[in-house]
Amino acid sequence: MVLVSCSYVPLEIPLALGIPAKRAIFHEQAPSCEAYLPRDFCPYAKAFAREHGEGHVIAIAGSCDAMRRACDALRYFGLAPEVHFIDVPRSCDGDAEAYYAGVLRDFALELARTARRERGDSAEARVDVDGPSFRRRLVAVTQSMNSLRRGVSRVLELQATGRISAMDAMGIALEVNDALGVSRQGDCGSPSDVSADAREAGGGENGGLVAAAAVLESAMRLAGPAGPRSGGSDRNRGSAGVGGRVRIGVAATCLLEPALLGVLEDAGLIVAFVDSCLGSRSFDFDVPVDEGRRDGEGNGHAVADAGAGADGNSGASCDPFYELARAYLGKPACPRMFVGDERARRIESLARSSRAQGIVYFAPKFCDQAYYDFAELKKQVGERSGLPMLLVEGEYGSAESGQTLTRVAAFREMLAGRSGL
Amino acid sequence: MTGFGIPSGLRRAARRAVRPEVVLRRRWAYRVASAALPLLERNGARPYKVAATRCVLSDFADAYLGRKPCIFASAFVPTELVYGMGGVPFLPEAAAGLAAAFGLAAESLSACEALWYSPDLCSFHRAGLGGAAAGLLPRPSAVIVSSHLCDGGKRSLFHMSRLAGCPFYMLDVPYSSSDRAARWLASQIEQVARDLPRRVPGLSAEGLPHALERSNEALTEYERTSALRRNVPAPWRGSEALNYVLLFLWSWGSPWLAPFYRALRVHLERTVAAGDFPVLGERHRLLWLNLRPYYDTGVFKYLEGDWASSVAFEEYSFAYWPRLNPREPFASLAEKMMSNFGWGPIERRLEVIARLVGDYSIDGVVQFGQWGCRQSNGGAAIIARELKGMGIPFLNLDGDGVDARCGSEAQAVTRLGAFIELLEARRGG
Repeated sequence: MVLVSCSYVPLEIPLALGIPAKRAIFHEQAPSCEAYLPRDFCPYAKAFAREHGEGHVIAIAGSCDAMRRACDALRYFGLAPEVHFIDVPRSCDGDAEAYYAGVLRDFALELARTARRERGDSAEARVDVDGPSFRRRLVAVTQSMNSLRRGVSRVLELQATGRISAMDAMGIALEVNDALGVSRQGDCGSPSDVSADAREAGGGENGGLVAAAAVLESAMRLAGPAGPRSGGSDRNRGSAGVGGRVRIGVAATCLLEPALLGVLEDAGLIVAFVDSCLGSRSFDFDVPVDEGRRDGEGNGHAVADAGAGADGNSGASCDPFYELARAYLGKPACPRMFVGDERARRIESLARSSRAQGIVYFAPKFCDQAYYDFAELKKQVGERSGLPMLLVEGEYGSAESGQTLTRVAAFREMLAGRSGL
Repeated sequence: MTGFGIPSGLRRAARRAVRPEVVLRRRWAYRVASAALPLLERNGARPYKVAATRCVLSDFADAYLGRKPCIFASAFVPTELVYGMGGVPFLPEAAAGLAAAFGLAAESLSACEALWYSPDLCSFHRAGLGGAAAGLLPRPSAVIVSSHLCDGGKRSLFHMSRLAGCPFYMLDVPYSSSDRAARWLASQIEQVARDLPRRVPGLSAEGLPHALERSNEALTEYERTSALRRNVPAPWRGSEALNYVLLFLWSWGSPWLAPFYRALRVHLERTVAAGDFPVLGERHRLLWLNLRPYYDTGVFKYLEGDWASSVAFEEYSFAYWPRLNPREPFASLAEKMMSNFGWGPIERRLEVIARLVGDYSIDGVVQFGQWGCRQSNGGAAIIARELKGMGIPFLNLDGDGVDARCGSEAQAVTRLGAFIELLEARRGG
C-alpha cells in the first residue's frame, strides 16, 4: 500500500497501477519518534518516524522543511521498505504544471517497478506508463476519483447547511480515505454491500475505489433527505444563533485529529466549514479528463518528459499526468503554496457563504507554515472582514485538553456576546 | 566575546543616543562613517575589517538612501542577480544578526509578535519581519525569495512585500538535480530578470555578466582564504568568521567582496607566516554547523580562551558552487542555487560535513540548534549517527541566534564544557 503525506500527491497514480493507496492518517506518534526527529518538530512529520509495515510504500511530498527531514529520516534509518519524495511545486503556472507532470510520471515509473517486483513479474510484464493501456486506466481511475471527490464535497455541503455534524462529515471523509487502502475487491464487503452504482463509480475493477464509493453511498443514504446521519449530529443542527449556537469556520494546515471538531461542536459552536487538507481542500476540485481527451493519449509523453517551461506545453492537455498536475496544483491552495492573496480570499468567501462569525485556526505545534498562515489570515481576513480568529495549537491527543476546552469556551462566549446571543 | 566585535558599552551608548531607523536614513551618517575608515586603518584596524565595513556601508547607503532600487532577498537567492541588475540586495534575516549584535533585536522581535507571529518561529525571520514593521529596514522596491532550505525565509519576505506593496517573486527550486529541473529554474530566473525592469525603474539585466565575473573573482580569493584556514593551528577565530557569514550570504556580485576576501587572505597568510595564531595552544578543532548567537555571549570566550578550542571552519562558510558562466547567467545561477548542499536529500549535507571534517582536521562537530530552524535541526539525529560512524563526536547545542531570551549561556557553556571534556578524554589528556 502507498501512504501519501500530502493532498497534492494524486492517489490516482498508485491506484491505476493496482496499488492500494491512501492519505496517511495517524492517531498518535510512535514513542520512538524523537530518536529520529527533534522534539520541537511538527507532530504530523514526527508521526511518520516509525517502523512501517512490510509492503508499505511511503510517498512524502516536499510540503515543508519538517516533511523533507521526515523523508530523510525514513530513508536513512530504514524505517520503511520504500520511500519516495514527491517534489510538489509551490506555484501553479504553466511551467510549474509541466514540471510537476514530469515528477508524477517519474513517480508512476518508480511505482510500476515496485508493483512488478512485488508481483514477481518478468521484465516483459512491465507496465509502460506512457503506453495507451496504462493511460486509459489512469483516466478511468481519475474519473472515479472525481466522482468520489464530488461525493465527499456533497457531504461537506450537508455539513455547511447543518444537516450533519462536522465530526460526522470528517468521519465519512476519513472512511472514504481508509477504503481506498483496501487491496482487493472482496475486501470492501460482500457483493450485496456494494451497489452497482458504487461499482460503476469505483471504476469496477479497483477494490479500493469500489469500497470508497460504497462508503460514500451508504453515508449519503443515511444522511438522506430526512436529516442527520447519526445520533451525535444534532450538535451541528440549525442556523446561526439558533439555540445560542454560533457558526464558525475551521482553518488549518493539517487538522491532526477530528476530535477538535467534536470539542468545538460540544462547546456550542456550529462548524460550517473545514479548510484543511483533511477537509475541503482535498475534495473541492475535479481533474478534467474525459473521453475526448483520451483520444490524444500517447502525445503527452513528450510533454511530461520534457517538462520545463521553455519547452512549451503544446499538446499537454492530452496527457493525463499533465491534467493531474494542473488540477492538483490548482486545487484550493494550502498554506505551503504561493498564490498571492488567493488563499485569504477563499477563506473569506467560505466564511461569507457559510455565514461564519469567527474562525478557529488549528496549527499543529511547531508547524511553521501554519504559524505564518495564521498571521497572514489574521491580517487579511480578520482585519478586512472583522472576523475574530482563535489560534489553537495542538499535538496528537491534545484536542480534548482542558486548555483547549477553556480557550474554545472563551471564544464562543466572545462570539455569542458580539452576536447578542 | 561581543557580537561583531563591537564593545558592549559603545553599543549601549549608541543605542541610547540615536534612533537607528533615523540615522540609517541620513546621508551625513554614511559620510561620517566613510571618513572614519581611513582613520581606523591608520590606527591599526585590520584592513580586512575595514574592507568589510566599506562593503556593508556601501550597500546600506544604497538601500537606506534610495540610491539604488533595494531588493529584499531570502538568504539563498543568488545576489549576483540583484547587483547585476543595478539594484542593491537587502537580506532581512542576515540583517537580523546585525541587529542582535547592536542590541536592536528585542524591539524587532516584539514588533513581530505584535503581528501575531509565533515565538516558536525562527528568530532570524521574526526579527526581520518585526524590523520591517517597525520601520528599521529600508523600503524594498521588490522582493525575491527562493523556495529551498527554509520555509521561514520565503513566508516572512512574502509578508514584507505585502507591507511594502511591492512586487514579489519566488524562485521555486526543484529538489532533484535533473536537466529538466535545472531548465525550469533557469527559466524562472530569466523571467524575474525580464519582469523586474518593467516593474522597478532603474533596473536592467545588462550588468548580469559583469556581476557574475565579479562573483568569480571573489570566489577565487575566497577559496584561497578557505585553503589557508586548513592550517593547524587555525589562523582565524571561527567566532569571528561566523560574523562574516553576513557577507558570504549577501555580497556575491558586489564590487566590494573581492577586495574584502583579498585583504582577509593577506591577513591569514601573514598570520600563518608569523605563527601569530588567535587561539593559544590550540588543543581541539571544531566544525561549526549552522549559525551562532549574535548577541553578547561568553560562549566563545570559554571555547577559544579557557578550553583552547578553535572553530576551525563553519558549514555556512563552505563555497559549494562551481564557477559561474557570465555568458549563461540564468543557467549558471540556477546551477549555483541547486548546488546548495542543504537542499535535496540529506546525504548531500552529510557528504559536505565529511569533507570538511577531513579538510580541516576536525576533532568534533557542534551544531548550533537554532530555535525554530527545522531544516537544520531536523537532520541532527542523522548527522549524529553518521559522525559516530566516522568516530567524530557531535554536539547539538540548543540556542537562539537572535532572541537572547531563548538562549541560556550557562546551559550552553555547561554542555560545551562537557563536550570538550569528552574530546580531552579521547585525546588522552
